[in-house]
Amino acid sequence: MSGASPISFEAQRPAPVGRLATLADRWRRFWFEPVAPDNLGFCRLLFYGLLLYYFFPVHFVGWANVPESFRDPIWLFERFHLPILPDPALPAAGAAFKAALLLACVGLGTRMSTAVAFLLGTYLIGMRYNFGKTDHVGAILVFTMGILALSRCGDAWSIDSLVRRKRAQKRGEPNPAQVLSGEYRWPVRAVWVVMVMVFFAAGVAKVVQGGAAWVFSDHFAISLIQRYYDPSPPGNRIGLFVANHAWLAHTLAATAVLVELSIPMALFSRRARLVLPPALFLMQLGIGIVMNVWFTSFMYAYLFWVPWDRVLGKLRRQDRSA
Amino acid sequence: MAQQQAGGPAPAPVVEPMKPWRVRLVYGVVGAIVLGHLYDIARQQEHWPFSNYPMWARPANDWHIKNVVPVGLTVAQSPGEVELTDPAYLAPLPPHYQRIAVMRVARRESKRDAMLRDYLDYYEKRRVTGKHNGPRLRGIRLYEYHWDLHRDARNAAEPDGRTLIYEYLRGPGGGPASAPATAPAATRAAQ
Repeated sequence: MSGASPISFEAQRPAPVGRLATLADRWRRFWFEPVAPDNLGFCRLLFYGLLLYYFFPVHFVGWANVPESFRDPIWLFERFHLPILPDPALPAAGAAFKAALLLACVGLGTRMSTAVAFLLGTYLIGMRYNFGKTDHVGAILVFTMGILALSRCGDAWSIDSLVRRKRAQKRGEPNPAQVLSGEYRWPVRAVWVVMVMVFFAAGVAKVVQGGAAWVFSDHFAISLIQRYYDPSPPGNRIGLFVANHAWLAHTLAATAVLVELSIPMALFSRRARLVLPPALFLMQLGIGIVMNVWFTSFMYAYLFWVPWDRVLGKLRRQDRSA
Repeated sequence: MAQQQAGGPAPAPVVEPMKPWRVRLVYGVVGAIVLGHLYDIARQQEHWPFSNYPMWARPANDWHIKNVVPVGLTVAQSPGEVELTDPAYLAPLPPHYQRIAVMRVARRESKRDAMLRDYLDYYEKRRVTGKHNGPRLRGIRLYEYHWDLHRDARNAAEPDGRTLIYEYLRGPGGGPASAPATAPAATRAAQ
């Protein structure tokens, strides 16, 4: 945090002239408006904590023993000639990944731990996709870990930041000033962009591959009913209820496509942000309940839409006034 | 761990400007993420971790389902056939991965025998080392299970019918002893 200077963000930029300049200024503000590190730091703590909770029971062992004929390498592994690590290297990588998640969560050696979590996480999450099935849950975790690894997410809500303060106190130096920086803004915005790309892509795929039939045919009803013929069927009959009410099935199908295609608006409009990400969260929760297809770890990325600094500030104020 | 926990009055915040190389790095990273996705969206392809996210995108308009299911043939005459649904049989490969892998090669003669031989070898290796309690197998049959979809899913528990599409029996030397195949029919992977 050295090199901090009490100059305003606006002072770094030439005064906007005309509409284009205003747009450019809004663009810069979107990405780099100086903010306190608390929101990003709290997101880091929650995100890696949830990842650790999710991956802790996962055993990374024995994948190299699976016969070659079952393999169907994904692009990343084929392009970069990544092998499936044999035991005991694979379990060791799994243990190192979990240790990195823990350290990244508490913010100890954050730069290193987030980088290790990203590299090992990319490998370990991608590895199982080399056996014929790619799901759409792991990629957003990889992108989010990559963004956090490049960020200064350890500057708040971390052991690293506590240690820095204690050292300053020990030396008799004044408390380091709270720094506002674009460094704490862009990572959260970048995760938003990743999520927007994911859902926008899903919306486009439905339009391109399904067209109007995706909404107006029996497709949605058939997809719901098919789940009851799966080896892991839903534990309730909500899907059958929806499938048997055509108007409801068509409405939900249209809503899904509309919300997915509208999600880019959430980047630019505060009002859209209040509606669209929660709607997608509820949609994924609904898919879990109705179809027994769960996007559990994917849903951790939603926490980046919550302004935790404001939430925590409000809680603190309520605490004081009580 | 909050910044506010340390002692002393908090001084006024200062604004730290972004270094130009960091700004360029951010634009580079975000640009790569966006362009990678746009490429897959335009081509309707997947290059993990980039993807066009085609979950349930292809319209389903067929009120029938067909699934290829591998069934083990035991050495003993009874029970004769066993369902290969225990996750321990081919661990760490989850059962739905197994089904997808088998479905992928069910109609591809060039790869089918190799996969079924590997399946039996791996199963047996795990069985003799006590990693599962399945019976000894002498072969695998691939069945196509088919259902007519009902709006109340009343027939979901059992398929309406099944067709033997291939049988792989291990010969004395480890190779196939017999391999009768029936006429191929289109299969659809479960989404």
